[in-house]
Amino acid sequence: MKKELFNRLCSDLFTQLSSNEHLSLEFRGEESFFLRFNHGKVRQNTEVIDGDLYFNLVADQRNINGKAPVTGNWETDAPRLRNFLQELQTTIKTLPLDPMSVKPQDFGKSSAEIKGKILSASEVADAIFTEVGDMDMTGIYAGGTLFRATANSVGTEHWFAVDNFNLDYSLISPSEKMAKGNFSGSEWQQKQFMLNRSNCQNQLAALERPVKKVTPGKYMTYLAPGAIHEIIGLMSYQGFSTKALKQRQSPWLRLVDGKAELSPRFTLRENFSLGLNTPFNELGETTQELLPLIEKGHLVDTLTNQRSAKEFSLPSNGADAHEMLRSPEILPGKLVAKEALGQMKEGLYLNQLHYLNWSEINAARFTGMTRYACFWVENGEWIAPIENLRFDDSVYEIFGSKLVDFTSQAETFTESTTYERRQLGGAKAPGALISEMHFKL
Amino acid sequence: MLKNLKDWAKKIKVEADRVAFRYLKEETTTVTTRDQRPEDNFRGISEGVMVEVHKNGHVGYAATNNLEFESLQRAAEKAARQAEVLAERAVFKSELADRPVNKGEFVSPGFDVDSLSMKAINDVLIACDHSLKVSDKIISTTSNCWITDAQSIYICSLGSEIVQKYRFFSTGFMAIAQDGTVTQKRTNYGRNHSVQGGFENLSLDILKQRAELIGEQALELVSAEVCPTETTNLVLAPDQLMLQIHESIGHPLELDRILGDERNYAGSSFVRLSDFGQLRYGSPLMNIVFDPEEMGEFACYAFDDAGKKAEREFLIKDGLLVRGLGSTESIRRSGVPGVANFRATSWNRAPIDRMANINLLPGKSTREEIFSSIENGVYMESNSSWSIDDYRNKFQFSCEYGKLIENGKLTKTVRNPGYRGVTTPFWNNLKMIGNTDTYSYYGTPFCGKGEPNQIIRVGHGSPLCLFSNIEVFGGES
Repeated sequence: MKKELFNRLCSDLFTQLSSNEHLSLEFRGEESFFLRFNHGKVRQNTEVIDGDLYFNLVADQRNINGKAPVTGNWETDAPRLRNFLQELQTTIKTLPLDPMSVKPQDFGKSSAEIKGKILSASEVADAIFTEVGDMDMTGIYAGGTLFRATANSVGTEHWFAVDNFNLDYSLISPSEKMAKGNFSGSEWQQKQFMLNRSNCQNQLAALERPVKKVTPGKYMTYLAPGAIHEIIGLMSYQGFSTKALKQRQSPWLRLVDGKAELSPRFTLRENFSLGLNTPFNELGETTQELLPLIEKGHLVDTLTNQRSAKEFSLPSNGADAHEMLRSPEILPGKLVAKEALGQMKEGLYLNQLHYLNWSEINAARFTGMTRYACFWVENGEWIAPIENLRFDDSVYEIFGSKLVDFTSQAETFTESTTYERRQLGGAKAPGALISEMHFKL
Repeated sequence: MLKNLKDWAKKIKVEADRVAFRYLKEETTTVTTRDQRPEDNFRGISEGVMVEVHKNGHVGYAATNNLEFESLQRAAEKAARQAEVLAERAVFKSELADRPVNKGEFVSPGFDVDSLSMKAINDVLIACDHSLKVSDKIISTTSNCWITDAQSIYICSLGSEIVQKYRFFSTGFMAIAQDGTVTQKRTNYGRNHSVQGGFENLSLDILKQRAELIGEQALELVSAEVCPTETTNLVLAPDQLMLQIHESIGHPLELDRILGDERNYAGSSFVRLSDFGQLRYGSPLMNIVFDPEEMGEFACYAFDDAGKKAEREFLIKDGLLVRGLGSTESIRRSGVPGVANFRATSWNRAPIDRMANINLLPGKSTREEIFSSIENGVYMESNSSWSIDDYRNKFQFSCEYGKLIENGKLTKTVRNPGYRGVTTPFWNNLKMIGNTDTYSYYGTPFCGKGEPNQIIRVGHGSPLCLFSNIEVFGGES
């Protein structure tokens, strides 16, 4: 899809509106190649060209949303989209009044195109498999061009296109020990990939020691940045949503009620300067570059979209429809990662966590599993990889009373999920030393 | 569209051993109301074609939403090129027999037989919101309805021609109750009730009754005690067993997980290929079937996306593991008997091994016999939290609603009930299994797996079940 065609399609649709109708449009599209591999060989390979136009039509305090395919061909798209809009226009008149419907505003204009060097199907295979050799490697390469654009009937126009790739993989030893790797960017650099793969492989070597079965209990625990990234992902789900907080389905209820505290070392914010996501949401509303949410343990803001803003009489801060984190960052602390290990007489070093879920959201309690390279530590040394453990703990402990500190170094993680289509986004997270974490199974 | 696809299949020019088109169109209507006013009205269309080209013993896939012949021709050329350049690096050699030749049609209950305007759906849901609000202590009510009409067409140059039409229907309710600092949420069987069927599922009288019960139970929960923490007898309702079956039976039996395809994302399995025919998965009371033929259940179909005919099969018979969840490709790769479950979430994804309807068959015990046999225990309904490890062993699930069982009777309601365990010891602790009167099926559209990621619709049926010696716990709030 070309920017000019997007603008032409939008203009055409805006001319179909009556004076009482207001329309916001969002385009999400991709031209992608997916290469899935297992045992260091190709499992499946798929090329996808896809695009959808999302509609938000507001008229006379009524509201309707829609989605229709866009192919990038004017002759195909223009009549189909006009018909689709007409169907929405007919339906909206019949709907009950929606007092929280919000007319679009002019959120300005922007345009950004990030060109990169994306490898062809055969080049991708050569680049990955030549380097990996006969190692057992499983995962996916997803690369190509992603499109996000918005426009509305009062003048907003944002266009964003990026060439990028994300290689998300696991290296697996003959005894089924696994180490996680991720390599992403807009231009494939073979030397950087070699380094990335080599770092991942080094973790595997340490995993070849005999496994220790750790009994459930309380242990001092180091959570590596990958593990903290997983916790941020969980907190994104209902964690900072204004609507969830107002409906009293939020981990921060006790904080707001003054019944629990977080550590003054814990600061979390949206940081769009990381360049991981577009600064505009699906309505084209832009967000401030830095949006503090938790500052030194205090909840200073939540994610408020246009509907919540109207319903709860708050200012909108450009949150998306689901009021989820889009480019979060936990600020680093003062702990040097290597020294964190040194502080552990006995404990656990967890590189990754798996399948996190709120076990009791209103108490900020969550559960999950250890995964990948996780070790039992004695006197500051990795002694043995562990059998997977289940934990159940509270954010108020992990990022509160039991938080020793975050590490001074943080890592950036780019979004690798591809539900429906390749996603934008990511997070920046340091590691953390926790004086005591609860393991249940 | 069938005629177009057949014409295009004849016209397409690409050097290959096999070319197939998989067309899918989905038209979705969702309506959500909150606190007796509209929250979201949505109408969406998704339509496109996956072109599949078999060449040099490998399959290339290319998808497009441009339904012009030239676009499909380009997609076929791309898919053929992929197969050419990647065949020598493939993890296994594809064979034409992986796509059996079949012709047929499937039409789900409710497809194209009736319709209801978005306004009428709003009216029903707003009425349900009223029914949910049984007290001022109900601080928020939500009702929703999600209807998708789908049509898939599979045309393969080997001779397959399959048309399948579905109506997927989900209804959901949520009531949030607050009393002081205690807040509790109660929903419709853990989230939504999802089936294949028509607008009979939006019957106002039935839904209002259901909504009122949900509101009353939310209210009951805010004044209930917290579930005790102890090792005891556990009785699970079918709407929680749905999740238990899904996570601890469905996923670990997927052959692609056992073959390692999913190790980087969804995970592997504790089940080994050598376990089929050998592993005592659960108690002899346990019989699990793969059943795409249970009409009305959420994941019914007649053929999978390989073109294989879908039939009911035992996965676990009298507690013994006998069959895996894998279709033609995985069956050949693993040497293990499988099923017809090669399924893609949409036209823009390649199919992989998925669950369909995975059901636990009813036994002989009545509800009364189950409860009266228990001196001390906990009964739980409706999942609220789920987590399991990447080998599908150590799980922890929480439920919305619990009751104590004391001296053979259900007594006090308890809030925040949960339990944890390990898969095969848990299923071997299955002590009593309810009869058909206690059996229900449920479904979810949100089973996630695969790289690139795919969500898919699954259904799970179960009777009421009693497990012994289970670690249960309560919450803090």
